[in-house]
Parts: sequence; structure tokens; C-alpha cells
Amino acid sequence: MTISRRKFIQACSIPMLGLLTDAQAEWFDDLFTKKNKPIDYQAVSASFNSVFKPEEIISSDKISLEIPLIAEDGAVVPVTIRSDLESVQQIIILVEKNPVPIVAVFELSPQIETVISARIKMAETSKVIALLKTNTKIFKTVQEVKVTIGGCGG
Amino acid sequence: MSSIKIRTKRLNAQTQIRTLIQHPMEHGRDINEKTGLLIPAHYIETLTLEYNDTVVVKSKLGSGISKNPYFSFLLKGGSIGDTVTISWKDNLGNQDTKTRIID
Repeated sequence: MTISRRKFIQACSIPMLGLLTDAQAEWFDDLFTKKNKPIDYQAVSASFNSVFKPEEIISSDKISLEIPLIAEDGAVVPVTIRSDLESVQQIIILVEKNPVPIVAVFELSPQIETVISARIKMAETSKVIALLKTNTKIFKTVQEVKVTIGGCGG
Repeated sequence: MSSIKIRTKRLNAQTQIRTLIQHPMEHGRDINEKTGLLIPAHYIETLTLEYNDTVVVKSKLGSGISKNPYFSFLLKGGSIGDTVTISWKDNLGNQDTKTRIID
């Protein structure tokens, strides 16, 4: 490939993350590129708090994050996000303790209802965060999911 | 054979679109047990859903999506004969696309 990975990611994420501020877009870029480096979770959450001001993110009960509380296989965790909020433009799925915490960014047109299902990987027991960005605000909902690789369900 | 399967189901004034894509979604940290070498990262980076040739979902995915990814979306409206197209592109430059007519 003739272009560097960083350039490529910048090129594809700038239009896609155009709704986010520069600092937020950069934060996502950084996470997508931190592939093989160990991640300091506290630093991630601190940097998360620095780009997404806690007061800008509203914890909302209007988002339902349907995910098993106990996932027997971390490789396949079904997740469904649905919401009654108006004019949702982006849905972002994060798994706090994954080596690459950001799982997916969906950019929705008004033609699509705010209902999305996917299957995600989880490295270990962790919080799953869904962020919904409308044209003015960011809403969030969090669910702790326990991953039992041993399969005893405990 | 296409790597993409699409199913559509018309509900009340909505259309459910489900898709299953065959893809290894390797995150680049697993080790091949036979050779002891790292399996290189190989995952879908972008997935696009088009409805009647208009892009309705643009998504950017990471390696945190499970192997053989499944997604479902809910479309407002949708009637018999409309087309739904799903296309993906991975980090190695492979891509695939498939169109289905809503029935």
C-alpha cells in the first residue's frame, strides 16, 4: 500500500466522524490504530473524559442496550441497541476493556430506524457503552457484561 | 459465491434487513497453533447499506466485531421491488457487494 495507515484512517474517518469535534474524531482514530499496543484502561477512560466532556454526555434511559448480562462466549456477544430518541445520526459501540475499545461506528440516515443489532467480541468482563449522537447532544447508556470463558455460567 | 447473505422482512411500514457476512475478522493478536506465528489482522473496516441506490447506513467497524459478522437494520418504509445493497471493504482491500430485491 502506498498510503500510510494513519493517513488512510484519517481520510476515511474525517467524513465519517464529521459530526464529532476534531478532538473526538482524533480520539477514535487513536483507538482504532492502537492495535497491538497494550492499553492503559485508566488512560483510555481519562482521555475519553477529556474529549467527551461528561456534561455533554447525557445518560439516557431512552436507549435500550439489549445484551446478555452473562456472556458465555466472549467471541460472540449479541447486542441490540434501540431508542426512541429523535434524529439519531450516529451510534457508537464501545467495549471498555477490549484491546481496541471502539467496536463500531454506525452513521444513520433518517430513513433508518434507531434499531441496530450486531455481534461483538469481548475480551473480558467489562462495561459495554452505547453512545447515540443526535444533531445536538450525545446520549449514553452503559451495561456491565460478565464474560465466563470457562462456560460454567457463574 | 458471494460472501454476503441478505434477508429482508416487511413488517408494519418497516422493513427489517438482516445480513450475514462470511469473514474471519482476525484482530491480529491470535497465534496460529500449528506455526506459532501471529495471524495477521484481517477485518472489515467499512460496511455500507444502500436502499434504492441511496446510502442509508455507513459504518466503520473495528476488529471487535465477531467472526462472520451479523447485522440487522430497520428501514422506514420499503415495498416490494425496492433494492437493498450491502457492500463491505476490509483492511486488506478485499471487497464484496450484494443486492437483494425486497419481496
